[in-house]
Amino acid sequence: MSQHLDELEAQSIFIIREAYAKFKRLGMLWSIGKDSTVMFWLVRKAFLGHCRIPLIHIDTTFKIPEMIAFRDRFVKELNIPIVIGKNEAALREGMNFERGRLECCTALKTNALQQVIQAHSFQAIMLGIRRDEEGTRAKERYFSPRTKDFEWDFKEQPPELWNQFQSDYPADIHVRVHPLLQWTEINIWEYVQRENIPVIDLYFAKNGRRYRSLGCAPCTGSIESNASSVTEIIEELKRSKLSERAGRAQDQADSHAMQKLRVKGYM
Amino acid sequence: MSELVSVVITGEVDHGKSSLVGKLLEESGAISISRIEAVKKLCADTGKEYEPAFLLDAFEEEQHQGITIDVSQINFATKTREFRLIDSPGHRDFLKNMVSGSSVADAAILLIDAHEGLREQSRRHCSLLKLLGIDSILVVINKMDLNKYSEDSFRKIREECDSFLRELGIRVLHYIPVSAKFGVNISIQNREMPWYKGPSVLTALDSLPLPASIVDTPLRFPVQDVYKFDNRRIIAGRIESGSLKVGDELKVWPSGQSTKVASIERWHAPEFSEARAGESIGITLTEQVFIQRGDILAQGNNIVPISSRLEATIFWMGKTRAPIGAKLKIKLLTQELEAEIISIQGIIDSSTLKRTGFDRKFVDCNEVALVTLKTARPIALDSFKQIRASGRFVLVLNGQVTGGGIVSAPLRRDSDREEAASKNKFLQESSFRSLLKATSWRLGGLLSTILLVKLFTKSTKAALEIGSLEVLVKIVLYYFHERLWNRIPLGKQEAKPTVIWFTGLPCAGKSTISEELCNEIRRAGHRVEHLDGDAVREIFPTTGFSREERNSHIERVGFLSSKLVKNGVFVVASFVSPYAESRDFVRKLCDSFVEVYVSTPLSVCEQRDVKEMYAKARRNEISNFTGVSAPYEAPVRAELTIDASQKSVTDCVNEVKNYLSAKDSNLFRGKI
Repeated sequence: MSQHLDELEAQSIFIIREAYAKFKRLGMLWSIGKDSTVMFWLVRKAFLGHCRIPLIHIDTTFKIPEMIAFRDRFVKELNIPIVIGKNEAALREGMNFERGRLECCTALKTNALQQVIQAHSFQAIMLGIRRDEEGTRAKERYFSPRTKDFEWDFKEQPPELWNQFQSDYPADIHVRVHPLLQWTEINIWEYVQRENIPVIDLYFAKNGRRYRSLGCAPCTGSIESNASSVTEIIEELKRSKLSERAGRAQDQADSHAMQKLRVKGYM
Repeated sequence: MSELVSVVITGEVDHGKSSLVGKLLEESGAISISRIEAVKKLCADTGKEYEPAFLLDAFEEEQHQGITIDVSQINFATKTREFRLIDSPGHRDFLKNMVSGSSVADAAILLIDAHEGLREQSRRHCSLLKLLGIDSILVVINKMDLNKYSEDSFRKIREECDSFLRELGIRVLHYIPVSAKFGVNISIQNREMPWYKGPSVLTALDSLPLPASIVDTPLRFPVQDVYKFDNRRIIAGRIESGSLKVGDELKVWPSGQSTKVASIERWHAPEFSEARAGESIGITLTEQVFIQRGDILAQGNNIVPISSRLEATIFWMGKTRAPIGAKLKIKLLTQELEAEIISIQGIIDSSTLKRTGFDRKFVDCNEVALVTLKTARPIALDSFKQIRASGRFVLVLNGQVTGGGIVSAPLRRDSDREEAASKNKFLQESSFRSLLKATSWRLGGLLSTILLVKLFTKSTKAALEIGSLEVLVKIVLYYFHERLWNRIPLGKQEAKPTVIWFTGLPCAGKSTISEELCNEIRRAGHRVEHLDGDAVREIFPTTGFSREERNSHIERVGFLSSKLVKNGVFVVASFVSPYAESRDFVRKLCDSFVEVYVSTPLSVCEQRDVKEMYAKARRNEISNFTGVSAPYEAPVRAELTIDASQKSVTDCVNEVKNYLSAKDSNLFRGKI
């Protein structure tokens, strides 16, 4: 399996370096979760230990408190630049999940990101999303353009072949770069194990429960588990039948979010 | 689970792709038995006949086990391998999607309905697969149950496929008759077709030969970026083929500079002094050469062809057409250059493989075409057959990736020469034009004389008489005047005959330039003789190629040249003349000697290889071939050095002319 991890790693580094060569203003979204932490690790691999791309963290102020503590410690220890994005206006106005989970996500995550992108005029943002997470992410490209209004035209995506990514866009389009697209949840944990990457201990079981996916405290549930180490997590995942994001409330909030992939033909 | 094999499945709608995939998932154990039971029960309850295709829905629900599912991809594993099945959709807009998916495939399954045979869409897919570099496939013939598992129907389709695929150059590993619906020949050989001795689909998939290792091909290390960390310059990139290690002599293409690997840089990885194809690494160099994104590093003894013209097969995915001359961008590895289609050699009908549209001026959406591309600057590339990664490219129109292509061949410069020649036509006057000009000048003079006389004398008669007299008198006067001045030595200068000796590698462009120069000297009114290596050897075919034989051959030609020059004849000689000693011998022999070194790089010469001599030399069919198996001693004091890969023939000739004019201003002064 390690050969496969090597391939994934090399491909991700290649994508990160392409993005860095193509976009002067490039940032990476760091959610403090395992995926974006692995992405951060791969950025250091790409720049031989250096971190040439600023981290962006979208703070909804509803995150699990341990996450923020981990974030601050992590950033301080490694002395890396970080941009923290908050939709202050919406927060002041009292936005929270009780007004509707999708509304809350839109205001505090999507709009906050939009504001950060505008404020720092980022041309491209790297995200640690994976194809196996959920249906819409499966349709993504490595370099995926978004309009000013964040619209994603998934029916008219540029072809991606032979590792040539479309990167010439007008100024009002920003590009989402997805270096981890081909990784699976198990790949991520195997890589965390191999590279000994520091991850937040919310992932490890305490009193028979652990988080499999991290988000805001009110909308993120923990799962029953006794996996208290990376090795045990990998074991557990190999046996599990449940979705990774089963603990994430917003996925269930709307039938579209949960809607099964509908595919022409069969796949 | 050490390897992941990507397999693209192609087939018409209704030929049973879903059933096949469902059955593969079921029999490989990718989908749990309880799920299968649930689907079967659901079918029984609703009165539907059970179909393996229904399993796909169940599979979608099971995706959350960590198995990837995608609009076009599905992952599953057998005991020995992990597979990624890639769908190639059958709808009209297929090209873009199919190409995106299939460009990462290692192998392909062609699914055919036993009733329908090989239809158009499948034919198209196959020719694209070939284009994308997939040259071995499995042909699965489905719905054999409807044909009572008859061997005849299987045979018929096999023959039909065979002739088409053979013409396409695709190798069929196995023809497998199956019934996806009833699970015949999917994972195990069933008894329904005792006449079939081949493997089942899963067995065939498990034994698919993996693509040849790209580690054993020559090194191609495209530069993605150059980082400056801690006062070190790190060349970052991914090795696309071959390998490199610390201490290796490398060359940077297209510039051709040499350098050496000082270190291989990785972070948080075991130190290892070698790096292989597929690895994303950084390297530092011992010699600081100018290097930037887009450059390609190769081993020092391996030449990367460079050319600004390439012949390619392209597929066009854009909604707008690609007309000849439109401004495109070519992206090949990390190189990005402006390019244009300069000619279309034909459009390939991908279902009949016939070439049409020879007079076409554009490539339309979803078409595959043979074209010649011209790039703004020379580009380093390989033919797709030799090295895949550096033999394929995408084309960008208005910022959109709208085309892809594979390089059939970097083009020789012959067409450059034709182009230069066609431009030249306008520069030189034909004798007819010359005559017209002279006549109009004389007529103008005559008319003005007549008018002037008429103006002063007011007599039309006198004017006409003087006019006609003037014509005759001028001609007679001119004749005697010329002869008279020919006898007067005062101020008379003559160009000094010179030997102009062209030396350089075979196919460097010596003959072409010297031939053209010869014409120029002749046009300037001098006597000139062109001595060409090939022509002389044709007269004396026993001349050998050893150092001694080459030297005496050159010395003989040099002797002849010196005699011609003494008698007032210019000599333009074009010989490989690889050894300095014989060239110096000739220089001493001749009173006036100009050495022109045609320094076209070996790579370019080899690419031109007009008589395929390089190819033969590389195959060891001929020995002592300069540049390959015999040395070439580049001149150290040549009067002129010309790199014919960087200039047109006309420019090269002009450069020699300018040099000669500066040396002897009478040479190109022209006739009186």
